[in-house]
Amino acid sequence: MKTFRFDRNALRFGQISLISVLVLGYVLNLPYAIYVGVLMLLSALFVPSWAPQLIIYRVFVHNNWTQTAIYDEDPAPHQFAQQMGLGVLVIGIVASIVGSLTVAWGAALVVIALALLNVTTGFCAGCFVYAQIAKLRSA
Amino acid sequence: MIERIAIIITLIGFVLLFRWYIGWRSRRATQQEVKLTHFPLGQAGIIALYAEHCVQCERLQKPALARLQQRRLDIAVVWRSIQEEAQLVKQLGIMTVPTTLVRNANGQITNVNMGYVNEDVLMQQLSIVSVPTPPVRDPNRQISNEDVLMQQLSIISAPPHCL
Repeated sequence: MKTFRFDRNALRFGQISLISVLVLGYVLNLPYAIYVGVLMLLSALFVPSWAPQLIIYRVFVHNNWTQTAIYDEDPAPHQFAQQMGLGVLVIGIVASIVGSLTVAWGAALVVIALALLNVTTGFCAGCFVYAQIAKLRSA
Repeated sequence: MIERIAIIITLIGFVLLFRWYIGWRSRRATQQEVKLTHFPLGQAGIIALYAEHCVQCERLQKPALARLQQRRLDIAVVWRSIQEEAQLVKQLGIMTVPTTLVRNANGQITNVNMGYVNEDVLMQQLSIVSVPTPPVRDPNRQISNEDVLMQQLSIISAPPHCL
């Protein structure tokens, strides 16, 4: 299993940034916020050094407001969660192109809810589903 | 716009309510006595519950518990599938995996962590239920430099109780 050192606070900051962008976009009715969210997730997944939220974290937040929380961990579960969020937001973009803004904002609200849950409780939606299936099977 | 703000506030409210609910269930599950056939009797430790195909259990919780065991050799870590422990899952109201249960030597659950927790949190929880055992001095070991220095120091400075 491949592990690498990463800062959990950076990950949390990235989630909070995504939530903020999507909430602002929803409240002000700016569908482009979903595009920004997709860009944030894409850059965090493929070019983390160029991800805008991580640049803001490195320049302004890190060392000024918060300490690092560095752990040697396998990045796969975090990347999987980001890919899931990305998938849902892409559905939102397709819906907004087609003209169904309700579906687009519905997708954004799902991402906001799951990211909020993860930030506040460390809750993993996929794990919850696995646990419920396993419980049903054993019943 | 007010309508949208209300929807966002409701959403945040639901998330906070869910967080409180998980915390409440965890607190309710503590102080219960748990009988596990595979758990060493009279030893404090951790029961880690997992499910098949759970990526967080395999990739995050397992390595974290391995690191914890390197730091605390005196504790037992037992992995059980939630399907094998259906009774325990029902008794404690476990909602997700991985879940780690911190158990004292009397068999009581002192902490329930629903979701992934790192080794630092577990170390803190374990420090309450079991004090780390100090390394045992081997009577057959050879005299080290440290022993020689201690002997030399005892000649030039007597311990306080000798005065």
